[in-house]
Amino acid sequence: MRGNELLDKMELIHPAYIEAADEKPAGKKHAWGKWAAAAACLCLIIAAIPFFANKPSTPHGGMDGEGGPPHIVIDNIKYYISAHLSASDELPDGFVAAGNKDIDGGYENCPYYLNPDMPEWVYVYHEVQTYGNVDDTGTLINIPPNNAYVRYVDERLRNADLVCFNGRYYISMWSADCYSDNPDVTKEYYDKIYSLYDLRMEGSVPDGFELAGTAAFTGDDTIPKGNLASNQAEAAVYFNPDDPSVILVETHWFTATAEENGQTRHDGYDVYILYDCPFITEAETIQFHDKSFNRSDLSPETIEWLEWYNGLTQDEQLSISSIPSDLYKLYGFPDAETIEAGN
Amino acid sequence: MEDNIIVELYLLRDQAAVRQTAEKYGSRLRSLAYGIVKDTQTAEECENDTYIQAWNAIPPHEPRSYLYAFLARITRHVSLNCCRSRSRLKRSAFICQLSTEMEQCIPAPDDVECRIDDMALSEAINRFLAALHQEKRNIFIRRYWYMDSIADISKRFALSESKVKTTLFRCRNQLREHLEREGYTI
Repeated sequence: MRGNELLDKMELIHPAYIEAADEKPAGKKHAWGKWAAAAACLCLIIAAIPFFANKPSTPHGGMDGEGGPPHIVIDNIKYYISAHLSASDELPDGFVAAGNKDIDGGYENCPYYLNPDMPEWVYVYHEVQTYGNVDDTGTLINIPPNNAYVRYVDERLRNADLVCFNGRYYISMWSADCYSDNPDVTKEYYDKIYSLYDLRMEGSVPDGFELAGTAAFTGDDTIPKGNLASNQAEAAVYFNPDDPSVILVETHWFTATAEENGQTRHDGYDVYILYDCPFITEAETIQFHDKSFNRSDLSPETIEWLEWYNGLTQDEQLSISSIPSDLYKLYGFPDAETIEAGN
Repeated sequence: MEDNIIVELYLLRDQAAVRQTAEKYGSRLRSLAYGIVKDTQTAEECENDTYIQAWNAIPPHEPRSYLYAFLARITRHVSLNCCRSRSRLKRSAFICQLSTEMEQCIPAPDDVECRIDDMALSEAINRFLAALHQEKRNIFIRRYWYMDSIADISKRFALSESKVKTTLFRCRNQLREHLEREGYTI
């Protein structure tokens, strides 16, 4: 086969993908319609200002060819609409109205909502248009346009497959960006890992890797937190004590070539690499020798103990004979009460 | 009018089917054709050819739940053939460029006709696309299905042209690796 033939064969792409790629954020609404509606409803608007203050604005831009994922910029951070298209009729708990803004490529003057405990998300209330979803049987289910609270995600988190393991953050080779102006990892680092491990490997776990446990799923678009957590799915995680730069996450996939005469399941591992998670500040972590831990994973007593311990000289630290049990567990020894410090 | 009813008109051999199709999807199909042929008159011809082919294809096909995608596939095919057959359109260089890029996805390019049937190749391509993130998938499809220019894609997705190029480069490599790793000989 040559390239021109494969270009023709691209017509075999599933219809749902074709329609999804042609989606525009919204259709353009005629200006006269807005004015006519405004004139007709003047009295009602005056009487119901509090009500309409929370209503979505006029969508625009659907026919000008701009397209692209709608996004909003708040405090110089760009938030793109969630790739998981998370929208709900109810505003999630903890989010409060923060004003109105235009959505680039989408809608005008939309109410948006912030949660100081979740700065990586913004909810925006506007019309949601989609051509539908494909159900389990492959049938396209059309969804009519409706208004909803739509999740927008910090561009650094959107589409990032993350695992938190012992306070360190790992990003999948599939999703790591090494090309943009603000990459997740350097190109050199990415290429080095790629040459050693590839993006995904099939078969048994390579020598040197040990089971760390099963990562808890923390949800789509989340920053996983905890001893072992993932924002992709619940899955077994393997680590190499001699190489902390890589972990392997169990996965499987299917193929169906003509030779196979049916579907074949493949089992293997996605490769995740260590990276500096931009959402975890030093204030949220605390150091214990060469490891850092999320403060949220530790008890207040342990945090107090660590702050005291880190203030000691090296000789003084060596004289300490025990450490708190929860810190000990994070080292991977769940049954003991104490461990000699500095080991 | 609902797609289901339009398809029903085709099945009943009612010529209103073509009129309803044109009313509902005409501008999108013409726009799709224009994106490929870059000529207004030819785009209108492609649109009309789409209606004729749809009339001939329904039945036996019954694209009740994916009528636009069904029509768009015809439009793309017709438009691509137009570009190849009409030198006055001066689109052959662009199509050649896309073909060259596509060739980078083939593990062992040769002149032998495709070795696997369309169903298996469709499986292969769609499984690859399923593994891509939505934005990358859409960029890939805009380039190789809708045949958008790099500039248009960068504008559409609010990305720099270099970002689009590198994304496409990585997608092509991933598709080749996907085909290699899973043993597809195309």
